[in-house]
Amino acid sequence: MTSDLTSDLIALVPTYGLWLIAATTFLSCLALPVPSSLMMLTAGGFVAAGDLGLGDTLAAALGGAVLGDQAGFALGRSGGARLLDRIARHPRRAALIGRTEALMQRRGGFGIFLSRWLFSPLGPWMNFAAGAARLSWRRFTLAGVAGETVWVALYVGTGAGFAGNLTAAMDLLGSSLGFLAAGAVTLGLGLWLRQALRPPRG
Amino acid sequence: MALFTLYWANPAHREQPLAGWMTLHYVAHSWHVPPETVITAARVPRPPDGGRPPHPRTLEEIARAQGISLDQLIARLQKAIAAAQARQPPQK
Repeated sequence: MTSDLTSDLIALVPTYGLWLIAATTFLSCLALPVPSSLMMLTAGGFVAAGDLGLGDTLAAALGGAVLGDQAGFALGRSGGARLLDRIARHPRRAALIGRTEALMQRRGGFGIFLSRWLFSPLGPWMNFAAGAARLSWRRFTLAGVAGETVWVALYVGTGAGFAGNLTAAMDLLGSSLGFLAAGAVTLGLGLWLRQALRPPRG
Repeated sequence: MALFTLYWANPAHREQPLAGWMTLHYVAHSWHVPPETVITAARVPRPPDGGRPPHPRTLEEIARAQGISLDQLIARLQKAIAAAQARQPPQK
């Protein structure tokens, strides 16, 4: 069942529409506790009903999310990078930070992509980290936009596709993504174990 | 995906109990009745120029504007939906 607070929030969607959606995805990308998934599902439901346009809704949600990511990245780059520079004055720590930055350059794009939708609670922190570890802006933006597109399409699409029963859509999407994320973690651990158990070469 | 299809093949999972946050079009979509059925039952005047109101209104807002309780409005809509479905049973 939907709680009173949830229905109050949902009721804001037809009234404030696209601006509310954009503001919610923007804030959620900066780690502020706003129910962005719920808002996008709801918007999808109103898209299916004909109260909101599909293109407008997708654009608003994606626009807010991409701007939020950019803001987080810029914060990480200005504040975080300076902090790292200060820490890196010590040579041993400098080596560690150098390795982190290299890892971010090598694998960061994929991490950014997955943390947009599959591991979305990590998303905002990845933005700050990517900025601080000097991931190239181009790669951050490409991976970020791709990932946010999946996120937005998944939630708005589910809300729209679920034939006018948002409560059930929320339950189902929540549990499916949970399963998927748990599966991905298991797979990652398995790969790591295989790597760790492999006899050292040379 | 097979699970999704199975789940939604059951009409009981589609028709969501009416609530104050829903709009008239949402109700029509959820219950598979033409929007006109719900709009007529809600007795919402169409804007004179034939356009839509500035934003879609929720049942809560409509009830407040008409000075009736939400339950009264919902009861009226439910009666109209039941009548429409009796005339033409929902597909599947």
